[in-house]
Formats: sequence, structure tokens, C-alpha cells
Amino acid sequence: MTWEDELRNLPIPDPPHELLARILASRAAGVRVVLPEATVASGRAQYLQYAAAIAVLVGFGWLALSTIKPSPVPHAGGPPIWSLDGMPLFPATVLGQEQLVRDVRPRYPLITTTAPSAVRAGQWTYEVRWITDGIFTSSRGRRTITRAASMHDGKPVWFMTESGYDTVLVDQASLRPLRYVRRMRRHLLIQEFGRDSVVEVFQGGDPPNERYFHGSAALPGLARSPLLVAWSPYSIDELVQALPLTRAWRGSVYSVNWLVYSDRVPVFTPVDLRVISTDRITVPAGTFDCWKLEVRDGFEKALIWVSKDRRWVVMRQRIWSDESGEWRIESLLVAVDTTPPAP
Amino acid sequence: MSAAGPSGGRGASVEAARAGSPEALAALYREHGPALFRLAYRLTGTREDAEDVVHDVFVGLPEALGRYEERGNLVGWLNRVTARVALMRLRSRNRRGEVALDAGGLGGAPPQDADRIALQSAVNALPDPLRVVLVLTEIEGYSHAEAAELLGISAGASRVRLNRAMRRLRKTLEDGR
Repeated sequence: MTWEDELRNLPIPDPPHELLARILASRAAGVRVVLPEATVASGRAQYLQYAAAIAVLVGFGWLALSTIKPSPVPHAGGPPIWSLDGMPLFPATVLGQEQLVRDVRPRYPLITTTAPSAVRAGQWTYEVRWITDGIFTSSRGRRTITRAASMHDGKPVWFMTESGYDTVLVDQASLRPLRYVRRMRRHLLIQEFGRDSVVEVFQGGDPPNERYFHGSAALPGLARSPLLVAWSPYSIDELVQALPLTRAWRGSVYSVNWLVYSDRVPVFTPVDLRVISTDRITVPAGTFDCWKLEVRDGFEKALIWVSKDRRWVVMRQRIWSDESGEWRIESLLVAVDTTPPAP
Repeated sequence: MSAAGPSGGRGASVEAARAGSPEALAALYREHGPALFRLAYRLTGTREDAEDVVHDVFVGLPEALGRYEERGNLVGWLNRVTARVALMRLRSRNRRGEVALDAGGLGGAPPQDADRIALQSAVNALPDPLRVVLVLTEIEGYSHAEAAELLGISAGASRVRLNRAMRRLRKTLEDGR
């Protein structure tokens, strides 16, 4: 028997019996996946494509040198590097390192079953640390999120803020945001959410309002599904308190990004959550029996540990690596104050 | 690569799947799913990733079939789509530095004789760029030009990677004796 034969005969497990049922259930739930092209270009066609691409690049280069002026969109204080439940992130799409992915669909059925009454007020403090190649390298300080009960337009809402960087008002009944405000050094972003649309005003410049952006977009998904605010750190913390987590639980929810950066970051990104295991972990705030969840935001992935009894996010973790090393960013629960803070 | 031309029945089920028929999609899965799972498993090295790859391929298939031309080879087309999805997943996994839970062995596979276990371990120990070329060319039967096109590298680079993969395999197996 040759090597190739031996390689081909290596045992492979069979696909699980329930895989077809999962596929059909996903289709029935409206999940869609955009598959990559599978055409193979012929050698001659490839050369023609390369030549055409070079010609286009040269043309654009010439146009850029001769016509493009500095961008009117202010960058100072621009999109924060905090995303996906408060994990610091180098948004590759923002930096132009990767092709913008616009057609990502939810992997799981949209979340429609929640227990909004399980959400509690309080203050949660996290220590953020950066670990390179397994060696603790730096602390990124502490961040405190506050959730308080309040009223807005006659509706009970959750008022949430993270170290004063931003504020979100979330409808207590539907867990959908009503208003998001982020103050930056020289800019102010306000998103107002309706039942089926979001309107955004981005004020910038010095003096303020000299340059601004105004836009709106129809909201995706179901009107009865919760919605996350993508750039609001810890936006997901509130949602997980209301989720009926079990061993095989999975569900998706849309997060809403900034419209002003829609040319670089998709406005709506499905966030796919899946319980992958249970785990007992110890953090500065204590030892907790947790659900370990995979949180997938587009093609990026993070892990969060949610305490089974309190429903607090106890730890979150994101790992990157390339040929030069590995980086792990962790956020650990340090302290909790469940005294309802003043609105 | 093995090739099978579209038959009349297959053409009908492709058409029905394209129109969104769950029964036709299930029929396509029963016919091609296990082979695509094997391809995905060989490329990703884990059962979980292979499941996700096949899940994504079949969930996206009805819409993707709009791009499939009937005169083409369905098996080859499905293989290329699956390989691309698996490679995307592999790159994404590598970017995150994720280590698969069953990466240490072919999880779930029945234990075989010592030589086979050693060969499995040696294949799994190969870096992804080398293992992928090995799987595509030596196991799946892709030409270097086809593998290179899928991987976004030159055919020469594909040959070099295969050569390195084989050398590493030999060394690992010889060291293990």
C-alpha cells in the first residue's frame, strides 16, 4: 500500500445523524449563508484578469493622486476599538485590512424568547488585561458598567453607561435600544431607535456641528427580537441575563453599528451565541459555576463565561495570533454592587 | 478528482433545491453530504468545524445553486465550494489562534493499528498550510493548479508545500520508530 493509499484510508468519523435536521431547521428559521464562488479561472483568463486589475489600479492611482482631497469625516475620536461586549478589538474592516463582509447572515434562529424581568440593576467592575505569548504584559485598567432603572417617554427603561463613555436607553419590555449617545472629545453621536428604523446624527468639528452626518436605516430581523448596540461595551451583558441558557442553547441577535462608518463596517452584524460547555472559574470577584458561550460577531469570535445562578458575565476572552505571536485579552469581574444605582 | 456528470434526476433535484424545496435539499445532502463532510474534516481536522462547514454549505446551497451551471460537474463544484468554506474557517481559526478540542487526534474515529495512528498523528501535527495542500492534492486528487487556485498561491508554491509536508511526515514517522 502506498503512502497516498494509507492517507486516503485514514478513518474519518461519519457526520452526525442530526446534521441534516439542523440544516433544514436553519433554513426554515430563515438562516442564510452566502457561499464563496467556486469557479476556477483558466490560466489565460487569469492573466487577463491580472492585467485588467493592474490597469484599473493604475487608473485609480492616477485619479487618487490628482483628485482626492482629505476625507471630510473626522477621525480623531472616531470609532472606538471597543466592540463585542466590551472586548478591545482591532477592527480589521475599519483598518482596511480585510474585505468588507456585508452578507453575513445569522447562523442560528433569531432570539425571540427572553425573560426581560430577569434583568437586574447594578454595577459591575471588570479588570482588563493583555497577555502576549502567555505572559501577562499589561493591564488595560478597570471599567465599570452601570445599569439603572429609569423612565423614558413614559416607558420603563434601563439606563446603561460604561465608565461615562456612552449611555444607552433600553426598553425593559423588549430589550431593544431606544437611544444611544456616545460623547467623544470633539464629536457626539446620537442614535434614536424606532420600531423598525434607526436615525443617527453624528456631530463633529470645531466648533461643533461644523461638519456632521445624518442618516437612517431600516432595522433588520424581527420587531420582537432584542437588539444590541455594537459599539456599546457590555451591551450583551444585559441580554444574557434574560436568556434561557441551557446546555444546547443557541441563538442570534443583530447588533447595530454606526451609520457614519457604513462604508467600512456593516451597519448591522448578526451576533451568534452558543453555549459550548459549563465551566467553574475563579476571578477576583469569586468562584462561579458558568455557562461558557461562544460569541461570534461576523467572522470574529470571543468567549464569555456567564454565571449560572446570577447571570453575570464573569469573564470574557478574545485570542488572536499570527506568525509573530499570540495575544489574549481578558476581562475579569472584579466587583459587583447590586444595590440599584440612582437613575 | 472523481467526477460525475449531472444526470436527469440530479438535474431535477438541483432545480428543486434551487427553488427552495427542503426535500430536494435533503436529497442532495444524502447524496453528497457524507463525502463533503469527509473533505471538510480532512481540511479542518476537527469534527466540530467539519459539521459547521457542511451546515453552512447546505444552508447556503439553494441560493448558491443559482451560480452553478448545469453543464458543469456538480460533485466538483460542491467540493470546491466546501473546500473554500473550510479554508475560510481555517484562516479565521488561525487568526484567532484557536486550538480545536479534538485537534490532538481524529476525534471520534475508531482506534486503528499503530502505524495508522502514527500516520494520523503526523498528519495532524503538520502546520495548516502544509496539511491543506497534502489533503487537497494527495487525498482529494486536486491538481496543483486547482489547489493553488483554491489557496490563493501559485502552483509552484503548492508543489513546494507538498514537498515540505511529505518530508515532515517522513521525518515524524521515522523519528517515531
